[in-house]
Amino acid sequence: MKKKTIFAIIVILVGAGVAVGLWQYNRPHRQIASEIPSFSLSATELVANFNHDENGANKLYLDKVLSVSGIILEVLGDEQPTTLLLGDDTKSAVVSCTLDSTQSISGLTVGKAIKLKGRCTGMLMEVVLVDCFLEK
Amino acid sequence: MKKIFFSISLIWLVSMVSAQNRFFSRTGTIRFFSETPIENIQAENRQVNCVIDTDKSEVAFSLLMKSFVFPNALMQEHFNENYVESDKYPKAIFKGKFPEKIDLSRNGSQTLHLTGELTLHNVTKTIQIPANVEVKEGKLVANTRFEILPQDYRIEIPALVRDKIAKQITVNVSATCQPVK
Repeated sequence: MKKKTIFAIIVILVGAGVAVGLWQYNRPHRQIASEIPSFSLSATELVANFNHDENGANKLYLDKVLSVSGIILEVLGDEQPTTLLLGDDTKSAVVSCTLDSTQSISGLTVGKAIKLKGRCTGMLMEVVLVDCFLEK
Repeated sequence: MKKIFFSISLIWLVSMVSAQNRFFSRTGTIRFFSETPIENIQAENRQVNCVIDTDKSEVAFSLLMKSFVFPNALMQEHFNENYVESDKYPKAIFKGKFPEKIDLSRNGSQTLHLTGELTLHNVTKTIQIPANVEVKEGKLVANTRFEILPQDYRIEIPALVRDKIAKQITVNVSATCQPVK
C-alpha cells in the first residue's frame, strides 16, 4: 500500500515538474500592447534625462514601457519593421521607435506630432524604444 | 573680388567633399546563431548603430543587448538576466580600422579587413574580421560575419545547458549607411 502511494506521489510530482517546465518554456513574449506605461514624457525630456545621467536613466527606464510624445523627424520605412525617429523642433533630441508589425504607418509624416508607447532598451546615439504601439 | 570669390568657392567645395566622408545608420541588423545537435538558437537586433568614416578608414557599430529578440521568451530572459547581464552591461561596441580605401566614386563592392576592439559583457577583445562594403547610389551597404566564443567575454553558460549552446556563436552584422550631411 505504502509503496504504491509513494510511487503515485513521485509520478505526480514529476508530472507537475514537467508541466511547469513546458509552461515556462512556452511562455509568450510580453504583450506591450496591453501594458500600461510606467512613465509618460516627451522625447525631449527622455533624451535630456539620459544625457544628464545615463546610469540613472538606465535604472529608471530599461525594460519599462514608456509613453513618449514628439514630432516625427524621420520615417525609416524602407525595410520592415518601420522605425520612426521622434524629437522636437530643435532636432537635437532623438528617440528611435521601432513599430510593432501590427502598426500602420499611413498618415505618419515628417513633422506630425504623435504619441506612442514602447519598451526602452537604452541609449546609443538616440534613446531606443522597441515594440512600439501608436497611442491617441 | 575674384580672389575672395575663388577662395570661398574652394572652401565650400572642400567642405562639400569632406561632408561626404561619414556614413551612418540607426537601424543596422545583427543576427547571431548557435547551432548544436540538441538545439538551434538565434536572435536578432534591428536597432544597431553603425558609423563608417571613409576618410579615416574607420568603422564602429554599437548596440543595446536588450534589443535582441529571440523566438522564445524564456531564452530571451535567460540571455539578458544570466548570460550577458544586460542590466549591468546594456551595450556592446565594436570600433575598428581597415587598411583599404573605400572608392566612393562609383557603385561597386569591396572587401575590407577590419581590425578592432569588440566590447561585450564589459570585456574588450581585439578581433580581426572580414567585411564587405558596397557603394550603392551614394549609400554604403556593409556586411560582416564572424565567430565569437562566449567564454572570451566571460559569458558563463551553466553546465545544465552547456550542450544546448554552441562553443562558437556566428554573428552577422549588416547595415545600410546613409551619408551624414
